[in-house]
Amino acid sequence: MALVLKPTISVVFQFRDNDNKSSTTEIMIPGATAPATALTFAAAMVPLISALTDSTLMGFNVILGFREAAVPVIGMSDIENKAVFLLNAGNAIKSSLTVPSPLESILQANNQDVDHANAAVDAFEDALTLGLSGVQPVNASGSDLTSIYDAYKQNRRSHLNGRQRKG
Amino acid sequence: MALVALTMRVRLLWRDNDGAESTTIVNIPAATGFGSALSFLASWRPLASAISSAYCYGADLLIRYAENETWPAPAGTDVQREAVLIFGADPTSLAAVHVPSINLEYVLASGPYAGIALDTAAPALAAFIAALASGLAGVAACDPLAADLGELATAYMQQL
Repeated sequence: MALVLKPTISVVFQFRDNDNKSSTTEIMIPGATAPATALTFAAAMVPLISALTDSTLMGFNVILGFREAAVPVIGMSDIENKAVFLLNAGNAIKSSLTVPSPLESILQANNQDVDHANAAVDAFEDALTLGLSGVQPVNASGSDLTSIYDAYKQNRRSHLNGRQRKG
Repeated sequence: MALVALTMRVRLLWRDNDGAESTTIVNIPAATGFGSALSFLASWRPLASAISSAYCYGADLLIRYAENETWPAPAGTDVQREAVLIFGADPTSLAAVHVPSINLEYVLASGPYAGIALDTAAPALAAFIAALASGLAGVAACDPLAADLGELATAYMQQL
């Protein structure tokens, strides 16, 4: 099993109207397009599509997707259980991310708190706070994630495939 | 007003044995090189997979740009009033591109399809169609299976 690049890269433009409703335009380009070229395409498309709409262009995303070539039978798991990682950042604004269906083996005896001494947890947390492959993760405002503030298991609603139940 | 780069995002896609899905998202700096960002994605996924019993079936790299200031859209705009542009010659593989809140000046005002069909000869609309059909910045738009969009088949306005 290996991740393979999707056949297409999605260029998604976001719009908003005067009632604050939002919508998107998705244009697909070949997956083999270099990311920098895809970005150039998106930027060049901005004035062309802006000229057609009277709503406000809010921004765009260029999305490179990778998927498993074959998904195996998935063992017992429940993505509504989440490991929640709260992180400190350089600008003192905390950030969080979740990993669904945490293994019981990464939890402490209370079955709630994440065991930071677990080797897999340690590697995951180091990747967030020390960087990985030369890339230092940041919070949404671009400030480096510096340390783990807390990590615990929490139950959160999620969405079911195709049923639009979001959480 | 200008489009500025936001933090890029690496998004992991998960599924459990009930078919329920979830995501994990981490931000990385906007200035990260694309090669480094993809290396991070490839390296981070197994680390996350090692602490989860769900299956990580995919990963996305989101390169994000947003306006650095927002302003209200004018009265009368409606993103549910959209242009639909359908490309392709083969009826079994048509591809559509939608443009929200199409400016009404591009809707035909006379003829049998007045108020419905788009004026594909209008310069702005013709330029957009040409960019999709013939390529722009060296990139040809395509359908979800990566086949070229081909020529415009029809273009009309619809209200959702």
